[in-house]
Amino acid sequence: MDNLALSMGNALLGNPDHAAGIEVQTFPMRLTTTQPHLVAVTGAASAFLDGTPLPPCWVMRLEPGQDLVLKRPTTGARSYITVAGGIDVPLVLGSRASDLRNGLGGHEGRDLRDGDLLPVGPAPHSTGAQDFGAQPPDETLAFTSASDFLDIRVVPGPEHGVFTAAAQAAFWQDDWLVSTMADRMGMRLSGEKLTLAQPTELRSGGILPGVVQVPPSGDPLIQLRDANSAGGYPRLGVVIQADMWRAGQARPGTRIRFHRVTTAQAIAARNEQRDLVAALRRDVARYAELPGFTR
Amino acid sequence: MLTERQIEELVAHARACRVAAVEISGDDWLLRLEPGRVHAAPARPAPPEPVTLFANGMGRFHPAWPEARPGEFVPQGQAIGFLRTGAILRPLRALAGGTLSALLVGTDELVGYGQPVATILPGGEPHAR
Repeated sequence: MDNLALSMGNALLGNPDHAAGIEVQTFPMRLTTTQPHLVAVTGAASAFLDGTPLPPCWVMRLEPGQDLVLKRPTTGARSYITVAGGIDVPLVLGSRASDLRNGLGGHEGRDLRDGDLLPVGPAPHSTGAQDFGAQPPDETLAFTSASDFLDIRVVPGPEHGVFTAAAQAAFWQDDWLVSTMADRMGMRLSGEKLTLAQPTELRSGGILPGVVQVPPSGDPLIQLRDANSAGGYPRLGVVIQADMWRAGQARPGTRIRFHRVTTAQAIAARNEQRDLVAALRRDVARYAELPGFTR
Repeated sequence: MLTERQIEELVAHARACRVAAVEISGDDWLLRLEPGRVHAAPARPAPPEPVTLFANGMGRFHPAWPEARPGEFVPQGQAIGFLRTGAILRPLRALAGGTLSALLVGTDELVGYGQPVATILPGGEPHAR
């Protein structure tokens, strides 16, 4: 859901970008290990190593007998645990991700349970660096959210024009509340009911993560990571790729504001995010041998 | 604590008023005055020397999460700040638990290897933030 957190965790550890990690959205979660491992905690984390709080976006060595505990974060919904070498579950259809709906991939095609033992792949070349981290992306990216809102950038969708002028204005200007009807597939927002200028029949078309549909109820629905592949509701907008991680951190009760951007701005934002991860990967390799990196 | 002059004035008043004894105390001291005799509280232990935390590398100083402020207790091992080098942060950890008495560098200030960055007064107790 928060692809940026997973990428940053892998970059901090020198893993390939596609290495599998653990997405945590049920708290508290306790992790122990049978072997020493370099571990990163990213995303909306409130992590403790043997009771000592860890900074966000942090790398530490987890030794057998130590407890890594993730408590419910104060903001955001999901924490990410990555391990040097990656979680070595089998590739299924080219992916190590869990498809919980269909019971495919990941760890036995299901969510994790107490006592599960996860395999870890061979660690990349290690410099011995540990106890370091990175600034959270909200501190470094140019576009940041105000403390009370989740600010998300959106480009107008293909059916933006079929909505009334009032509905269009409400979408861009109002605050939207994330309802309890939210999961990995999508999240429904509540606020002003958005209406069409006139009854419109649409053929089903392809949709992607980020598409904002408006069903007949008038409540917008954001398609998330496990999005449908097709749908027939009008597409009012599309959350830009660079802000999908923000949407992935929304939880019921979060207030969202949409900001209209152009395709060029969306591409620039994606490039900025890509550069952030690349710089992190480069600097881990560049500075890991400096004094102060090992304890 | 009272000054020497204040104590002398207090003794004079006590004698003039024929007071048998005067006892005054503070958080960590006690003064008892009796005619002809003075009992002082046990000698106050020498205050602990502040411990200086030196930079273990170079970089720009970044405050900790949550921010550690002078006057607050920091447990041993807690990061009181970070050194940012490129995109990487390294912690500046308290070598001993105690009260953070001073941060010697400011946010985004360039810090060199071995530069003093903070002083901590050892001891004290953690308190709710």
